[in-house]
Amino acid sequence: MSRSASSDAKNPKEVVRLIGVAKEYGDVGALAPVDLSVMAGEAIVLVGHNGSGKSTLLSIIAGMLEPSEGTVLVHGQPPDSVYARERRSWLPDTPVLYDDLSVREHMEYTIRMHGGQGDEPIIDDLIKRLGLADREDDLPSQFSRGLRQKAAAAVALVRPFTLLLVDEPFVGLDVAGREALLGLLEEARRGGATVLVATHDPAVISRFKRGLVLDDGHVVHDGTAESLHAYLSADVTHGET
Amino acid sequence: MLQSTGIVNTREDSRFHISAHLCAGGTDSARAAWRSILKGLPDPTPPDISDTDPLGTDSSPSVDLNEAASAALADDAQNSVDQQTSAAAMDEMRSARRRRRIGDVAWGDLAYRVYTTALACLVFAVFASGWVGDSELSAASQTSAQKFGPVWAGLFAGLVLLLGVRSGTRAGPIALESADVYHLLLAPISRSRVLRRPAVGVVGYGVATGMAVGALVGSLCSQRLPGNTFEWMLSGALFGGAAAALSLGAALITASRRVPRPWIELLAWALLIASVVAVAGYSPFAPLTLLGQILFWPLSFSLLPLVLVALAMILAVVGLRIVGGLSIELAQRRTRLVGQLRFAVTQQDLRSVLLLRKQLASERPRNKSRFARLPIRFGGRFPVFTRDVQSFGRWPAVRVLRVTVLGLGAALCLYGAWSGTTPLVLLAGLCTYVAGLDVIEPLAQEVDHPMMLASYPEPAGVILQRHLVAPVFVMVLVGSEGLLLVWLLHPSVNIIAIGAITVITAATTAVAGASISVVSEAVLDAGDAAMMPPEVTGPRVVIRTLWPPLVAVIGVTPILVAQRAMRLGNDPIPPALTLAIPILVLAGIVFMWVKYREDLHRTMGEAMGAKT
Repeated sequence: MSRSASSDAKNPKEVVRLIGVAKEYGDVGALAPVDLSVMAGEAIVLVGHNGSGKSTLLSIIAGMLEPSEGTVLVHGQPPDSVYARERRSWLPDTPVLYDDLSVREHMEYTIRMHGGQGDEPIIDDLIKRLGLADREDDLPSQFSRGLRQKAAAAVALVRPFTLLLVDEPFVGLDVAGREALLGLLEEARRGGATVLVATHDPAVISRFKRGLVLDDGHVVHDGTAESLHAYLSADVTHGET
Repeated sequence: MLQSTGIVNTREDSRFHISAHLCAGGTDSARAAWRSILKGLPDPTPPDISDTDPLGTDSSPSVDLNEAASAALADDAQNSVDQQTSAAAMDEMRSARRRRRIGDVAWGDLAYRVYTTALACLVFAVFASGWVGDSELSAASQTSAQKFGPVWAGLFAGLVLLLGVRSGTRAGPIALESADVYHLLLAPISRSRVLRRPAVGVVGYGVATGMAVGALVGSLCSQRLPGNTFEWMLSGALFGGAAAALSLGAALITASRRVPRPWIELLAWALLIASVVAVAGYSPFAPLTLLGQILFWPLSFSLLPLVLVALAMILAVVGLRIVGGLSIELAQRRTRLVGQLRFAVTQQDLRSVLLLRKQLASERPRNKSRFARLPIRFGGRFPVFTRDVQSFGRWPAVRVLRVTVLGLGAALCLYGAWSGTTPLVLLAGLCTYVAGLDVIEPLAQEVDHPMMLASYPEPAGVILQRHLVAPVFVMVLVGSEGLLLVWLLHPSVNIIAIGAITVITAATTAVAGASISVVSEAVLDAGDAAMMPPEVTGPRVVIRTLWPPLVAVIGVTPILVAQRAMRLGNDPIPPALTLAIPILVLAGIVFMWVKYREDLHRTMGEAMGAKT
């Protein structure tokens, strides 16, 4: 049974549904009303300039932010429901880790919180893949930014999920770490998980089938990667005139 | 040139520019940066993530993410993770972390902290006891205490309740660890289960503190009022504990979002206003007066107030039961800010405390200014003043309201002092000081950004001093509205004349006092404090903490000399004017200190260096 085989009873293929979702901070709009449907197994990249609303959108789907208006459904359930939390993994742009737990302890804890035993081989595999083997018993609070990012990625990937939300995952990573993380995202995708990645990295953009462009909180483009490129190319013509 | 994984993109042509849509909004710099990134986009026929293996995973051991999770999410219709298993994992990890923390505790430091805290409490109790005195009140005073004591105690309970509700609207009173928000509140486990233990801790600590403070107040009451000390302490403890439970229970219920927040806030405000009305004598009774009666049980016992004690306990229990409805967004923000706030408090860094407090209350500057832009020519001649006016134009409504209320409050306190309640000058001075801290925000911003300050082609002190001008104008405006209120209450030429003098002195000293707080470094961080023994550091900390508000209090004292002259049958204006001169000189000295502070420090440092 695949981890990504999970689906909502009402609409077995729709993993994320946003209906008129908007977010405002005081008198500043961070996200204009957005409608979005993400089907199971999709790999989507979110692109846009700083402040365009990528992180806000992901945070809303992750249940970290509450929309000012609109409805968010993850597997047909509210994003803060236990059902949604069980199936959704979230790798934020800034690693959030306990100061007093080692990398391995974080992973054991996380996997146990999700019904595991804490001795699953995936822990060792992830530690090895992400190049944390020498540091697995060290505290992430003493790590560099890149190592903390790797540790956060390991914690996000060690647990079961059908939906993976990743916000700027490559900040601070060295080439090897970046390669490893991209490989892991790809494997998650191949396993059928739905993957949403917000990034500025052009190399990453090119690897996704579907791309969303956000601009000042508006989704200004939603289509295949090819259409994303065509869209961006076409705009050059307008932009240069 | 941008390099991507496995693919080197050297596209110097601008084929993949940012779209015209993207150019339509956002900051120019953000758009420019984004445009430059997109220049490096690879070919418009990218490989699908699922169809390629561009990352060289062949050489890496494969992680079967799919297999590892298959069983857990097998049942789509229900939650597949057992809540009990997750809860057991959470409890076990919490216990392990607690043991580790205890193992890491430096017991010597802890014992010293306990000792100093206990000593401070003892000193406070002795001082309070001495201040209250121990001669029994007259019969008339006792009657008055019996009549008005519960009303004032009810007012206090109303204030505490409102503070609790306000805290609840910001996800208080719990402040979780940042990682707990991510790893526990996003985990598939009941949030009530996750939050109950920290919530019980907060409520337990709060109620215990309330009982201790209440017992102390009861003990102080027993010095002047008839009755057994133990009874007074017991009733005080019950009152304090009930008030704390009421406040914390209301906070938890508000934070849980099960009841619409506006209704709870409205109720809390209504209860407070009812108590204010009762204190002012316009109403014989307010609902929370019933709770206040507990404190005065040794004078008049009644079982009825126990209803409110029961209500407080019910609120606390209900709050603990429904705490899982906490907003994760607010919890996350609170977690981040409260951590910083605690650190700032331990450092006695008032500026950071205020800044974080404003962030916690979501008190952000307005996106658009209330004022029209000042003429370019004016801005060119007076850039600092113009910048300050722009800052005032972006004040959020809540800050405008707060400063206005503080101005009116200070005016009413001074009117009270004029009418004979002299200690109210302290409260008036504190009001102006707090308003001053709001008003010197532009100066504080300058201090918060030393790199920018250093980049200007003028000495930092000169720029900081110029930032004091606009705040004085604003404080004079704030004082004027207070003066208007007093004039409405008591239209008299003397009042207006003395009030005008006091407005000017209070405005300048409020800005002076606030600027001392802001421009000085954090008290514990200052210079060579770390090298000094505790006997020197302690008084130094106290003086540096008290001096700024004291400067503000000095500014309102002309009212006292005027009142004294009036009582002696003399013209009150000349003594007020006479005192105003040294007060303004004092404010001037502070303003000069702001200008030359850096130079003074440098000179002193050089002199010290030369000695060694």
